[in-house]
Parts: sequence; structure tokens; C-alpha cells
Amino acid sequence: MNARAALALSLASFASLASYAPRAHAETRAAYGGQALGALASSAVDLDPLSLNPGDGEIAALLFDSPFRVDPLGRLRPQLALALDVDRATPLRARLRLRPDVRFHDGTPLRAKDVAASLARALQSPAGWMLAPIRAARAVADDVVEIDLARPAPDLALLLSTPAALVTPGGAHRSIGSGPFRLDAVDNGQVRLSAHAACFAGRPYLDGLTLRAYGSRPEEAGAWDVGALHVARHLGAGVDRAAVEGPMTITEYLAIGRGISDAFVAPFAAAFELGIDRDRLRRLAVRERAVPARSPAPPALGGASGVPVYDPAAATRAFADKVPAEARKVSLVVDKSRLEDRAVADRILADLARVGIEVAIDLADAASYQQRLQSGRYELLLGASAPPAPDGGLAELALVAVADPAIARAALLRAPAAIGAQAAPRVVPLYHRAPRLHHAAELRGLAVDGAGRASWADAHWRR
Amino acid sequence: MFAVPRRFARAAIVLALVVRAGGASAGPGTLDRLADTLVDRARPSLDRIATLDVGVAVSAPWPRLAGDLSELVSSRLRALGARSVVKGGGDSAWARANGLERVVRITVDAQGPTLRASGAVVALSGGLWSDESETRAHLYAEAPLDAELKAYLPGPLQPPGAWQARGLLAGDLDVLALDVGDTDGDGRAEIVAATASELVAFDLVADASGARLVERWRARLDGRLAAQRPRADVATVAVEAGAVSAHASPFADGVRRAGKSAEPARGYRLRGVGTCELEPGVDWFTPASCGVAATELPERFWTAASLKRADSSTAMAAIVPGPAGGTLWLRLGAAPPIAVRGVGAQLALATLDRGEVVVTSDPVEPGEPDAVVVRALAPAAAVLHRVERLPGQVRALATGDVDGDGQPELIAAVRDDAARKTELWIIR
Repeated sequence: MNARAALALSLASFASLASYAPRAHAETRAAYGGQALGALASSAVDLDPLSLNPGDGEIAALLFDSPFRVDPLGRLRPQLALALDVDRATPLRARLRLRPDVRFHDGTPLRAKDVAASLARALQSPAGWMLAPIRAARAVADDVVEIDLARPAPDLALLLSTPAALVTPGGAHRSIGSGPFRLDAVDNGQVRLSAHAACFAGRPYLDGLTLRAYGSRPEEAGAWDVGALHVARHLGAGVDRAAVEGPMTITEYLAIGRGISDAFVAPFAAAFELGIDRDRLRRLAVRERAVPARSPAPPALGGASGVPVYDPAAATRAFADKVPAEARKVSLVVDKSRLEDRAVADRILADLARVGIEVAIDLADAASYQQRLQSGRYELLLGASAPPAPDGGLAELALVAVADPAIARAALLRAPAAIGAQAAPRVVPLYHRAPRLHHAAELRGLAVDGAGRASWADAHWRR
Repeated sequence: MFAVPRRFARAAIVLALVVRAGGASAGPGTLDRLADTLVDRARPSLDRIATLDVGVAVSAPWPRLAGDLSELVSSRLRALGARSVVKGGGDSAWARANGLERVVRITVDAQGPTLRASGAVVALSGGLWSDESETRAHLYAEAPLDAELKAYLPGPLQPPGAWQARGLLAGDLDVLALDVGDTDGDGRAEIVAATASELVAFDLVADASGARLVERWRARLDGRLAAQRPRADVATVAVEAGAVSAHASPFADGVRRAGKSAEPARGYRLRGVGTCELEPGVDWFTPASCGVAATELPERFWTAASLKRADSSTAMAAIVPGPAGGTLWLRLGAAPPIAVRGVGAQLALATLDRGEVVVTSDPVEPGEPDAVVVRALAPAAAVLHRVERLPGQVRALATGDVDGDGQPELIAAVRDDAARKTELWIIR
């Protein structure tokens, strides 16, 4: 007898995502048309579904679709999929049946071979660790993908909603998908998108969308003030503007790279755990709603809550006699297109100086930051991790994958992700924050998800 | 049976002050005194009036009375020194289009020997980016229905009693369309609600514990998925000759259900208009998709309805999408169509005991609950009544005799997304 793997999922943790729920508000139906300009969380580097860069992730969510998606209420819904069947007699084989009428932006139909090839490409990439239980995927009909599993996978539908399962034509590294927007151009740091009128999930309301990252807060605020920006991420507090906020699920972290000897990883991690005042850090340096991180998983996804211990004296003791003086000078790589991170890095620098660690901040552009993050060629790195799906275990594994995707892949290969199941020795979570967007009051329908991505396909103007 | 014990003015529940405008005398000037009282009550909320552009909107079942009272109130506001005073429909789109800072909204009705005027002073933000409004004062005045006032009322018609509206819980049902009709052959009409995935029929029953909705039957909408759906789902439902035709946008086909049998049916049934198809990927219909001439209906519309009138002519109405909401398109017989801007997406035409009406939803202000607006099915489409302070968004409108008293009622599905509940409001 067949059982729908999707139905076997335990989605209890989703219930905690109350902030995903849309607000009740009275409006007539949304109007089609118009253009909007929005700020990205970081510069776009590589518009590929497997890119780890937050700015790329925002755009990928607009260009590409995955077999499943998580709706605004945190429920798992089929997107490209019609059904996911797992035969109980052969629990290591699943059949994914696809919608028949989906087309890519170039007009070609989306077929099972595209899904299989996209999954296969993700399996070859470190960024595809989220698909670890999948051993192979192949098209057995135009609309059916057969998936071989390495373990029984009640979490398969959830994993097929993650960015690693986004589909491109033939699984190629191309900026063509089936999502609500198509890519028109990338020029001068701006990404220009237009409505995909044939999108099976409905044409987006806006005709066009221009997204870019700003070099500084004043630049972004200036663009807002002159009306050249309709959705901003870094406006100052105290000004009454329309805003939407997502759940508190983005984790800011400090990663210890290969530039630090294995022998010193534990003392450094202990020094960071005890020597960084994470509560003060989120109060002074973070403008969005945030809580200090007591565990890698955010409380909104079932992680521990409360203020972590801050004890600089203990941090000094844990560190001083284990790391020689010459190894205490380290560089901290920061993505300079993430405006908030610069202020956070300054606070970290001050805190670590008190425990005897001399930090030099290394501001990198988004592209070189990504290269160094993926290669591990850094000593310390400040970054932000979004859960690939609203699941505490996957949120933790995403932090593990920052330092070594192979460990995350191996953990997920063994069993479905669970909170506390896998340690992340090279990553110290600092705080969990709720992404917030300020928007023009006449731009309606906007929401922000747990990964900080705006729901641009539902945004519309009301004049 | 759902019976009305007595008609009452819903507004009276929330109004703060009751002021008698007239004493025993009912000679000439009664309407002037009514206007004086209303303006006196409004005055504290019109501070720095010399800097204010004020709108006056009076709705009443008697257009001449509404016009005169509107003029009297306007002239008093001008005398108080208002920078400008504009008369009009009173909805938010009209207020914004005229750049108003305050709107004095008044509804007049009659009960027994008394004429009652109730309403509010609404302050609108002047900010370019703000759509906020705030009720600054509630107004209420009444006057004896003396010879002067009776002269405003049409002879053969008795002044209709106050409108009555009440909400009945329908559960967590994300209603997208409504219709009323006898679906089970018992001689009584049911309310049939369509969501994106199911049909639910309710009976309205009343007993010692009061009126309530009782679910009669429920059926799933399913089948082949639509190749392309609108981003926000839409649905239609029509009860005709005992059969229910329904279609929700997630699915390629609709269903026609007669008794216990159900069969697939193409298109979206709009009662009195025909069977239409959604334009791919969006939420509107075109005349061509309904098989009617381009001159019969607007170029594109969210919904449409028609009504055979007492004089045997046909009234056709539609809601036309626009950047600031909907526009009511209304054509009476062979006359050129008229347009009323700033309405919501829902529509119903009905012949009530009060006369022929066109009913629309009305997005009062973003972030606030919708209203239901009843207009006369006449060239000016004068506002007869507004049902405000509804607990959410008006998702669907329908008309039919749901209480079996032989007179049709208006039914509005009002959805509160945050509370995840829907109420069906019965308006008469």
C-alpha cells in the first residue's frame, strides 16, 4: 500500500511559526501592474539555486520553484509536485509525480528529467547537503521522477522544499526557472526582473522588480527618501513607516575557518562562547528584533531560549594557556555588503580584545566573501544562516554546513534532522533575529519569510 | 424560522450621544435644527477648522432629504470657517481624491414617528504615504417625523424601518463565493458557500436559543488542476433550478451538482450573465470569455450580475479592476453605463421590499474591516445604507430569502483571517 511521504511528516514544529500568519486586513483584490525597487540583504553574486549568498537566495526564490514549498502558515504544500509516493514494501524508493503544465521562462515545459537533473546536480554540490538521503533521481516518465533513498525518509517532502531542490532546465547552472519572475538583466549591481505571465501559480501582480544591495545605510536611506526605493532593509528606527517582520529564525554566527589550527578550535570556541556578550551585542548592534543565541536552533524552531552565560574571566582562563600569543592575532572576514554586520564586527572586536584575542576586520566584497566561505580559507568569519526550511534540526545543520557541509550531509544521511543531534564545533551562534522590511505604505501584500525573503510575487500597488 | 422581532438601528448600539433635535414643535425648520444638532456634535472634533477641507456624506432612502440635509450641514460648516466643504459619497477613495482631512458621514432612517440621523466624524491622515483614518466623534440626532419631514417621503411608501444586520458564525471557512437557493428540494433556500476546495450548504434556523447556521451538506471541489491559476484564488457558485454550479480557480473544471449527482462543468457560472472563463494567470473575466458582446460588459471584470427589473428592463452590473480597487459598472436598461469608483470586489443585485438595490463590498480603509454598501438601483446609485464595523473582510455577497418570510435578504460572508473565522451576515 502506498503512503504519501508528505503526510508522514511531523510538522508540529511549524505550529510555532505563528508570525508567518498573514494579518487580517481589509482590501479589495490586488491590482496588477507597476514596478517596485527593493533592497537586497547582500549583493547578488551568482544567481544559481545552489548559491549560499543571502542576496542570491532571495532572487533564486523568485526565479525557481521546488517540488514542495512551505506556505505562509508554515504548512508544507506541493508546488511542482502533485504527489510523493513511497511504497512501504520498498521504502527506499519514492516516486515524485509532477504537475503537467509548468513552463520555464523560456517557454519550454518543465519535465521530470529537469527535476531529476537538478537534484543530481545538487547532490554533487556541497550546497546540496540538504538532499543527503537521496542517492539518485531519474525520470521514468515525462511527469514522474523516481528517487532512490539511502534511508527511509519521512522528511523527504520537507527536504524537497529546500533551496537545494530548486529546478533549472536540465539541471543546468542557468538563471532560468519556472518561478513568478524572470531575469531581464544584471547590470551595475542591479538585478532587473519582470513578471512571468505564464507562471502556473499565477502571474505576479507587479510588472517588474529591481533589486540591489546598497553600499551603506545613508545610501539606502537616501534612496528611500527620494522615492527610489520601495522596500528597504536598513532604515533607522524611530520613524513611523509600514513594516513587515518575519519569524525570528535567522542566526548570526561566528565561524572558525581552516586558518585556525584544529588544536586551537576548542579554546577559540570556548572564548567566543564565554567572552562575547551576546545579549549586549544584539541590543546595541542589531536593529531588528533579536534574541541572544543559547543554542544553534532558534527558539522559534524549538531551540533553547534565554540569555547565554557571559563570563570574560572564564573565557580568558579557557583560552590563555591553550593558545600561544602568536596565534591570538586573527582576522575576521565580514561581507561589506551586509551593512548590519559591520557594526556587529566592531562589537565583537571590542569584546574579544578583553579576553586577549586581537581581531583585525577584513571587509570583503560579496563575491570574495562567498569564495572564502565556501573554501574555508579564513580564520574567523561573520555570517548569517537562514534555515533551509522551518525546522529546528535543519536550522542547526545549516550552521554545521557553514564550516563543513560534509558533516551536515553525513548527519542527515543517518537520520532526519533533529535539534541537538549534531554538534557544530567550528560555529558559534551569536543571536537569532527576525528579518524586517520597511515598505512604502501603498505597496501591499508584502510578507517576509523565515529566511528573510520578501514575498514579491504577492506584492501589489494600491494607489 | 429566522424572524425579525422588530427592526432596530444597528448604529444606535455604538453611538455615544442621543440628542433630541426637535421639541414638541414640528413646524418649518425641523431639518435645520437636525443639521444644527449634528454640526454642534461634530464641532469639537473639527478644531482648527479654518485649516481643514471637510467632506459631507449623507445617505438616506429619500434622495431629496439626503440632498437637503447635506446642503444644510455643509453651509453650517462653511459658516464655521472650514477651508472647503465638499459633498459626496463618503467612501475613502472619494475622500482621498478630494484631499479631505475630515469626513462627516451621516445616515438617516425613520422608525415609527421619528427621523433619526447617525454617523461619525472621520479624520484622515494627510501624509502622502499614509492611509490611516480615525473616528473622532460619533453623531446622533433625532426629530419627530412632522409635516415638514413627511413631505420628503414618497406618499405611497411608508418609511422603511431601520436596517438590521446580524452575523452568524460559519466556522473557519475561507469563503470565496456565495449563493442562495433550494438545493435539496425541501422548498426552503440554503446558503451555499464555495471555498477554494469545497462547497458547504447552510440552513438558517431559529429556535428558542436564537438564529444559527446549520450545515446541510458539504462536497469537495477537486479534479484536474488548472494549468494556471491566479495568485489569489477565486471561485463562483450559482444555484439555478435546484442545481449548484461551482468552480474554484485551483481546478481546471467546475462541478454541477444536482441532488446527489455531480458532474464536471466547464467555466465559472455568473448568475444572470453566463458561463465565463478566467483570463490565464489573473483574476478577471472578459466579455468574450462569457460569450457576450464586448459592449454588454466592461473590458475586464472581477464579477458581474444581472437583474430583471419590475419594469421588465434588465440591470447589468460588474466590478471593474483598477489600481485603487474596484469600480462599480452599472447599466440600467439601454441607458449608458455609470461608474462608481472605490468599491470592493464583491457585488449583488436584489429586489428587496425596500426597492431594487445594488450591493457592493467597500474597503473602508486598509487595516480596518470592510463595509457593505447598499445603493439604489437608479441612475445616481445613491447610497441607501452602509453596514460598517463588520468583523473582517467581505469575501462574498448574495441575495435570497434565507428565512422563509417571502422577502429576500442580503448575505455577506465576512472573513477574519487573524481569528480564522467567517461569519455570514444577514442584512435586511
